[in-house]
Amino acid sequence: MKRFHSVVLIICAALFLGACASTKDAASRDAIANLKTAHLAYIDEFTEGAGKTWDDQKLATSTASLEKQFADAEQAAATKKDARRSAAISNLHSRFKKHSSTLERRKAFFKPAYAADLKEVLSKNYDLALKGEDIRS
Amino acid sequence: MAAVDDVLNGIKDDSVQAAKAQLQSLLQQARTDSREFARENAALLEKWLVQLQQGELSQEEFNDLIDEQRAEAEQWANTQAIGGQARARDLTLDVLEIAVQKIAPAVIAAI
Repeated sequence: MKRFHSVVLIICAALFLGACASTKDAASRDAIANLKTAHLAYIDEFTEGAGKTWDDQKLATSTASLEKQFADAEQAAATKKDARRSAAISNLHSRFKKHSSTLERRKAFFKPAYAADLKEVLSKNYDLALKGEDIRS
Repeated sequence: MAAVDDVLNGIKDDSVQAAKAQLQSLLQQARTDSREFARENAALLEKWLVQLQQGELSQEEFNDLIDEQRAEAEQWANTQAIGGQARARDLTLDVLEIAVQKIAPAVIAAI
């Protein structure tokens, strides 16, 4: 009977640890998926459109919000000690820094045709990072 | 792609002929590569070179899009097995580097 309890205990522990591991992977994937949605929306927000006027404060607020999201994702990735995951998020963060600095420097919206190409490439970059998460899972 | 060949054939600057030939060769290999990313990378570069030549993209916008594509290529290389990364880089990052460093300025000069 004692042996039976030991086996049950080991199985429960294995299931618990397995669940923890997959939750961690799901959290990383969710973080990248949320960054993708927010980053693409940021490009849309700062692309020329009817009735839009340039607002430095709006840019600063939106940039700070997304910077916080990237910092949180990078911090979470660092605790998991996976160089590929950290490199993937760092790559995406560097894109965001480039986009926000371009907007700050030019103080002008992206042109729609350019923004469409930019979003196409950026979206694929996020999809590759998500694919990397799926490979690791 | 005939359109990009027209753009490249319009470059008469002798100093970039070697880079032009190298780009054409790498693009040709990329178009028939088994990896989807290498083919897409070539198609986008060809599209942007045509848009640059036609004035639909400024040189700064072209360079920024190449920068964006370079980051995507790094992300893609990050998902490839180590053994295939060198060849993958030839057909993606090297193609982009030649285009932005040598070809784009010559295209602008030839307009």
